[in-house]
Amino acid sequence: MREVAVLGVGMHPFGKFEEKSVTELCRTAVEAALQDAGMQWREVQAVSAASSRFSGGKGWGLNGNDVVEDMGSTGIPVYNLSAGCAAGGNAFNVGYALVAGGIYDVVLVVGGEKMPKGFIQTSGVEEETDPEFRRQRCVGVPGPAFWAMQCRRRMHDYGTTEEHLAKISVKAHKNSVHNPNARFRKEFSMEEVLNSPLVCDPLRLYEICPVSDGAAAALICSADVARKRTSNPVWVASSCVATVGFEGGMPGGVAGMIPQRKVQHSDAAAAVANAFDAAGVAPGDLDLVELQDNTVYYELAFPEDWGLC
Amino acid sequence: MTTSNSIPVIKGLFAETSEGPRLLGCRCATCGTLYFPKAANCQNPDCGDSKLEDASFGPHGKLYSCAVQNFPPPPPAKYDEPFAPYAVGLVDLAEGLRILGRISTDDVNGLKIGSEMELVLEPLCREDDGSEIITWKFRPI
Repeated sequence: MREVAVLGVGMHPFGKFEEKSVTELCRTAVEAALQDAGMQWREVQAVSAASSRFSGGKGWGLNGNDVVEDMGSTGIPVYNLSAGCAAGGNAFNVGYALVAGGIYDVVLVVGGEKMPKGFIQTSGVEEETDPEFRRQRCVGVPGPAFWAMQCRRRMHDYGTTEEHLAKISVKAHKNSVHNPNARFRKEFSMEEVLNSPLVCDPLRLYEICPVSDGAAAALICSADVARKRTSNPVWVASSCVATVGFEGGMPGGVAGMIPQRKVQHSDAAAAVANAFDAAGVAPGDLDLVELQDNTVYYELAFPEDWGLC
Repeated sequence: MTTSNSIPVIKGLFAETSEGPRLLGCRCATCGTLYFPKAANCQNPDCGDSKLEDASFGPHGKLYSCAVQNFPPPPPAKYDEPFAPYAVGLVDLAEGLRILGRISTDDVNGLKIGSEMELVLEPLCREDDGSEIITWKFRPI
């Protein structure tokens, strides 16, 4: 495998942008990444594009072909990926594999999405054989309700309190104040978080990710290209993706075998463990961790799963 | 609990038997893995020979965890207007399956993890033509 470097990154801020198309959001992110990398659009050899669901003109996701057309129809290949909340990571991993495997030297990874308000609709079909349809029609468990069940179990097992959960939100919002790409650039007090409406008890409105529009892009390249552009490339130590294992509980449906051992979030845990192995590092070697928290619960659970604390 | 005007939310997932309500799934005769609903193939990667046979589950279990859906869920979930918050839970059945289901209770905030639960077949909602849509739920004993 070849070494892979990140040459440039760019973002469109998170928020609600009713007047903009998803392609416009992506253009802002891609142009910023190109500028950061000192690259021209024509130099990009392939695109790995991501949204939670592929739009194809039918949904609210992204069709990466539109980004290429918008930036300039160079005819390069586009790999469109949809992987729910993991879509951005999935697209990065595919771009990484294409460069590491020697297929392309310069790949654009781009994610973008405009999302409807409220609970995310996870099944859009009237199809009784679709596991997600069955889950929603027969029971009615939007994402936050499922996270809330995991959170409630944690509260039962470890004594996690509502105050512990609220502190995570207070901390995260504090970090947002000086981040120009954050949706809410203001601090929230414990009282504000704890007085926000219960969405799925025990999870409250200010403890769940807001449904936002936004886009992000990264230009990744081979070592040869990187060294010509910069004396200090940012190397990708590893990039891994995983799915839920057989013993991981309920893969997408309404039932699963009761696990014989504690296996919460086996997909994320496997991806992280594999990434540590591939990079040859251990949790203690890390200086900074950025993790996706759909809700405050995950920011408590993930670091423990991964051996960070 | 169900009337002649009752329609299962999806056909073939559950049945009222002489011994009470049961969920209809299957079991792999080779490795013992249980499935609800029925699976087309054994999903255990260590199982060398998928041999699925019908099996039914319930009614006894314990509440593994629960939550309250405080706001109306998006389609294709169904509920009667005006919306009333409902409880959902994960119930560990005696047979070894962990099942997702609504909790049948008037006290959505009073549920206790570890409580004994029983499977019930109850209305999910009422359609415009007056028919009742029936689904599986769990009720604290």
